[in-house]
Amino acid sequence: MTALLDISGLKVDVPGRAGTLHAIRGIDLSIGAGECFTIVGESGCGKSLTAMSVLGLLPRAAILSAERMSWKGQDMRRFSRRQWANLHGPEIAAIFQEPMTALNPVLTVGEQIIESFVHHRLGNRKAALARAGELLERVGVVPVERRLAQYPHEMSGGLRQRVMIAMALMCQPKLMIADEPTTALDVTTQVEILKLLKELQAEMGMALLLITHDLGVVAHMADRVAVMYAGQIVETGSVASVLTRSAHPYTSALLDCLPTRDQPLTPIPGVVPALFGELEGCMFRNRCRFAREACADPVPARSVGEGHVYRCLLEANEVAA
Amino acid sequence: MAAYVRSKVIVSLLVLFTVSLVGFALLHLSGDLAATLAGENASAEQIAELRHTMGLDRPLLAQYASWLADAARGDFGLSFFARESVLTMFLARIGTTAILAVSALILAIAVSLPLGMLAAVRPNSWLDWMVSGVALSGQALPGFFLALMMISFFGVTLRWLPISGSATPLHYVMPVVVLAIGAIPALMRLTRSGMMEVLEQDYIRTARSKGISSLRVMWKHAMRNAILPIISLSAVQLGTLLGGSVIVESVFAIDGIGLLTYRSIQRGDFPVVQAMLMFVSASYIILTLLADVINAWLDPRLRQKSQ
Ligand SMILES: Nc1ncnc2c1ncn2[C@@H]1O[C@H](COP(=O)(O)OP(=O)(O)OP(=O)(O)O)[C@@H](O)[C@H]1O
Ligand code: SF4
Ligand SMILES: [Mg+2]
Repeated sequence: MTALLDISGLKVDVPGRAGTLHAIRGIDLSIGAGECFTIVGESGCGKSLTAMSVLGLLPRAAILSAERMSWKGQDMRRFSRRQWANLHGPEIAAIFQEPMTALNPVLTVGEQIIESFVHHRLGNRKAALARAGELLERVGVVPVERRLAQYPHEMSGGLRQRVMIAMALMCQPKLMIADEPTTALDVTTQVEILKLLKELQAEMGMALLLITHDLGVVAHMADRVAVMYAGQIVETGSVASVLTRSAHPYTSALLDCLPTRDQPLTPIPGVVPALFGELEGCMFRNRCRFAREACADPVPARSVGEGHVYRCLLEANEVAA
Repeated sequence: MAAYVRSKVIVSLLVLFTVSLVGFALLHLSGDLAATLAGENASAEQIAELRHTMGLDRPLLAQYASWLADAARGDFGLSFFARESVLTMFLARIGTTAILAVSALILAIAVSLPLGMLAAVRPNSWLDWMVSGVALSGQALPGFFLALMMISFFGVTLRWLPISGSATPLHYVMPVVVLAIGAIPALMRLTRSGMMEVLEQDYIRTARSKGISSLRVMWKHAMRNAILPIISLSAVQLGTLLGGSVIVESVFAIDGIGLLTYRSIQRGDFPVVQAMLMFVSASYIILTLLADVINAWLDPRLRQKSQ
C-alpha cells in the first residue's frame, strides 16, 4: 500500500523577536488511504502547525523544511499555488477547533458550503446545492432549506461544526484533517461529532487525520497514533500497541492522567521547555521520573516492532514495570 | 429593518431639531445682528429701527418659532446682504459642490481600497511602505499648497488643465484630485488595518482551505467584513466634503458651498449661516443613517440586533 501522505524530517521554524522558535523538529508521518491517524499531545506541542504544514496554510512567519513531503507521490514542497488550490477540497479538506469563528459571519451557510464545489467545477450551483442538501441531511443539519439560508450566528457551536464537516465533504476529499474538532464543544456534542466523523470516514472511504489532546478519543477512533511532545513525535504505532504497551514515559504519563470514574484528570507535573536555540537530548527529561544523565545526549529512535517506534533510552518494558 | 430605519429617522429628526435650536440661539447671542446689518456708520436709532423691522427685538423663542415654521416650508429667508433668497443661493451652488464631493469620494475610495488591501496582504513589503508613505504625505501636505503646486504644474507649465472656474468637466479635475488626496490617507489606513485584522481570522483560513481563488478569498470573504467601518468613514467624509472646502473653492475660484458659508460667517449673514448649518448637519445625519442601513444590509448580525 502506498501512502496518501508521506512526510519525513518535517521542521517548522518560527523566527521572532526572542529568537527562532523550533516549533516542529523533524517529524515523520505517513497516512494510508482510508485510515484514521491521530496526533495527540499537550497544548503547544505543535499539532496544529503539523496540520497546517500538510494543508500548506502555515502562518506567514513560519518556515517549513522537510526531507520528504509527498501527496500520492507528488512532491508537495514544489507545489505551485495552483496545485495547492487543486489539492484543497477534492484531495485534502479540513475542519478546525473553533466552530464559532471558523465560518464567515457575513455569508450564508449555503453560500459557504457550495463555493468549493463550484470553484472546482464539479458541477453548477444547482448540483452544488443538491449535494450540500444531501450532506447537511446526513450530518443532521435540518431542515436543509432553512439552514442553507441561515447565517452562522443563527446556529449553535455543534451545528456549526456539522456544517464545517458537510462543507469539508463537498468535494469528496481523500483525507480529512480535523484539528481538535470537538474541544470547543460540550461533552454530549463532542461524542456525537466524533461518532459522526467515524461513520462518515467509513462511508466515504476517506483517511482521517484527527488531532486531539485526549487519549480516550484516540482509543475510540484511531487505527494509528503519534504522540507528540515539544515538536517531536516521541512514540508512534498502532493504537492497540501504543496504548497497551506504551514504551515512552510521556505516553504512559498521559495514560496515567486520563480521567477515570473516581479520579479526575491529573496533569503531568512540570512545564514544557521553550523551544529556542540549540536543542539536544530528550525534551521530556525535566519532567521524566526516569531521567538520567545520558538523556541530555541525542536519543535514538527504537522499534518495538510492527511499526511501533519510540524515542527514549529505556528498554520497551521498563516503563510499564 | 423598517422599524430600525423608522426609529433612526425619529432620532435623526430630534437631533436636527436640537441642532437648529442651539445654532439659532448661539448665532443670535454671538453678536448684534442688527448692528452688523446696519453697517459701521449707522446711528443708534437706525440700528434700533432695523432691529424692529427685522423682528430681531422679539423674544428669541418667538423668532425661532417663525424661522422654524418658514424653514419647514422650505423658506430659509433672505440673505442680509445678497438680497436673494437663501434657498436660491444654496441651489445655485450645491450642484457644483456635490459634483466635487461625490467625485472626490469615489476617486478616494477607488485608490484607497485596492492599495490598502494590497498593503494588508503583504505587510512590510515595498508596496506597504509606499502606501504608508503616500498616506503620510497626503496627510502632511496642506491642501492649499498641493492645489497651488498642481495649478503651477498642470495649469501653467504644462497647460493641460484649466486653473479656475467650473465651466467644463476638465475644470473639476484638479479640485477633485486635491479633495480626494485629503480623504485618501484615513480611508487607506482603515482599509489596511481592517483587512489585516480580518485576514487573521479563522474564517479566512477556512476559506483558504477550500481551494478557492485568492481573489475570491480577498473580496468575498475578507472585504465583505472589512468594508463595514470603511462605509461609515466614507459617509462622514462625504458629509465633510458636501460642506464644501474653502481652500479648494477659493484657490480654484469655484463658487460653491464652502465659500458661501465662509463669506456668510465673515459678514454675519445670519440666515445663510443658519441654513448652511442645517444643511451640513442634515447631510451628516442622512449619510450616517444611510451607512448604518448599508452596514446592516451587509452584516446579518447587525440586522438581527436592530430588529
Ligand atoms: N503564528 C504563529 N506565530 C508564532 N508562533 C506560533 C504561531 N503558531 C503557533 N506558534 C507556536 O508554535 C508552537 C506550536 O503551536 P501549535 O498551534 O501547533 O500547538 P498545538 O499543539 O496545536 O496546541 P493546542 O493544543 O493549544 O492547539 C507553540 O509554541 C506556538 O506558540
Ligand atoms: S529519554 Fe530519558 S528523559 Fe527522555 S523519556 Fe526517556 S528516560 Fe525520560
Ligand atoms: Mg492546535
